[in-house]
Amino acid sequence: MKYERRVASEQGCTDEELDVFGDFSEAQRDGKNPDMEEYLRRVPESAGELRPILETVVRLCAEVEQLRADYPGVDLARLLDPDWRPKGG
Amino acid sequence: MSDGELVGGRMKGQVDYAVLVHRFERAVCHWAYALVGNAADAEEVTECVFVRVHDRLAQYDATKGSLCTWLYHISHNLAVSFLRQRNRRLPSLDAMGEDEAPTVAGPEELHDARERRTRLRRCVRDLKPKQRHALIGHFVRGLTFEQLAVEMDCSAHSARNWAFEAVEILKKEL
Repeated sequence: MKYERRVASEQGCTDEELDVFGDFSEAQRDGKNPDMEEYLRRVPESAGELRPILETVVRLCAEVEQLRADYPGVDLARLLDPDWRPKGG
Repeated sequence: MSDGELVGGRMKGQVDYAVLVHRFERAVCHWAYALVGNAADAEEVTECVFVRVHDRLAQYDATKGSLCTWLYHISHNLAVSFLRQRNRRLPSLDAMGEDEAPTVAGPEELHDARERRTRLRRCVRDLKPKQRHALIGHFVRGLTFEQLAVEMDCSAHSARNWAFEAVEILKKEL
C-alpha cells in the first residue's frame, strides 16, 4: 500500500513551493548553477521562507561534492547512512 | 556471540553488521585517534573503516587471525592513508610563494570544513529513515523524485516532501 505524506514540512508548505524546491534541487545537484532568485520569483509570497531552504540545498550539494573528492571510490550513500542497502542487496 | 559467529552470521545474511560496529566502534576510534591525533579525524577514519569492513567482510579468514587483529590492520592502513591525504592538503609554507599563500585554505579552514562534514554525517544519521532515504537518494545517489517514488513505494510528491523535510532540518546545521 502506498504511503502518502500530507504535511510537507514542519511549517507545512504548498505544492508550488515544493515544486520550486524540487526543480531547484535537481538543477543544483546536476551542477547547472541555477539562479535562485529566478526560482523564488515563482513563489513571491513565500520567497523569504523558501530562500534559506534553497541556500541549504546549495551548501548540501557543495558538501556532497567535497565528500566525493575526499573519499574517492567510497560509496557515499553508505558512508552517510550505514543502514542503507541497494534494493535487493 | 563470538567474533567468528558474528562474521558467520554476516555471510549468511546482513544482520550482524550492526553488532560488529557496536562491538568494535570504540576500539577502532581509539586506534585511529592514536594515529591521527584528534577526535574529528578519528571519527572520520572510523567511518571509513566500517565501510571498508562491510565491503570486505566476506574476505575475512578466521584461520589467519582474529577479527580484532584484522580490524586493527584495516584501521591502521586507513589512518595512515588519511594522514598522507591530510598532509598533502597542508602544503609547506616554505614551499609557497607569497602570492600563493592567500589562495590556499589554512589549517583552520580545513579543520572547519572537516567539522562541518562530521556534523553533516551526524545530522543525516539523526534524520527519520524516510527523510534520510529521500535526501541521500536525491542528493547523493542522483535519483529523480520519480525514481525515488518507485523505490520508496510512494508518490513523487511524497518523496519530494521527505527530501524537503530533511533539508529543512539540515538548514540548522549546515
